[in-house]
Amino acid sequence: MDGTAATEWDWVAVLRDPARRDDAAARLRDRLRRGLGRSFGRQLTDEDLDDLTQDAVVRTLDKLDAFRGESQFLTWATAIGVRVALGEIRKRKHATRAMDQVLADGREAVGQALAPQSLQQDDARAVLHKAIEEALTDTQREALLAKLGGLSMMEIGRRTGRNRGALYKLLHDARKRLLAHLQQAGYGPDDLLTAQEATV
Amino acid sequence: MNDPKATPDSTGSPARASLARMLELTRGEEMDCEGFADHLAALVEGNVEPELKALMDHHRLICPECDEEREALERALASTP
Repeated sequence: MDGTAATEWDWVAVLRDPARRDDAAARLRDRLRRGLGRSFGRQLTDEDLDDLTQDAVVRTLDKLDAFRGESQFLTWATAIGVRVALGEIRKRKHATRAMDQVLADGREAVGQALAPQSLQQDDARAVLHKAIEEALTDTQREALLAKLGGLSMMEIGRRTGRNRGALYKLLHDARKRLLAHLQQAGYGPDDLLTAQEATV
Repeated sequence: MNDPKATPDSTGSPARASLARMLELTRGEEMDCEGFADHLAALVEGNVEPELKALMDHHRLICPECDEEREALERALASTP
């Protein structure tokens, strides 16, 4: 730890020690700030980076118990910082998009993705279209359309009050349900790919 | 991992053409975003077991946002002394 600690666990010990915490947190802040600057320097101002670094340090301190030593401590802490920074970037990107518009974009995306291609594809697409409307729960449909409408998982979660783990499970269950309906009708995902997608 | 059909998207829209791909990639058991985040640091250091790496690689295909986080972490660590 910058020459003052021998192992990754020493970071944890020092950050837990009231007598040494402030100094260690300052070193951690410096390392995270440099890393986030390298990764997001073109997308965020210096002031943003300072604020997000501070947020990342706080979250890292809150999560110390979760550090399992699978990686270097600074790699683990930087991963937390990256998530903090991307969360803010994604939030800003979608801040002005109302949920109604996102869902409308999602429906348009479904319509485009399921546009007529061939007789067999048309039938498969009709099966899928019907399944989206009738086989999914309202919350599954909303989450799927929001994703297809271009909203990030993080932002969908924020707007719907779910963490990303819960949201992923919701969408995973929706995908499995749609896939099952498709397969019960004798089709598979390949029947939905456009010629371009199938040959890429 | 380079899947030419995957459509990773930078802070934006995994959307349109990915519907069929999302279904094509659907498995009975999948790693979720929280699980991916839990092991991301170990992944970029190459310290995950093959079975776990396979789950994470699959998750990266179906979740461009998590793959974006991996890329951003690698950039952040690129020249850390």
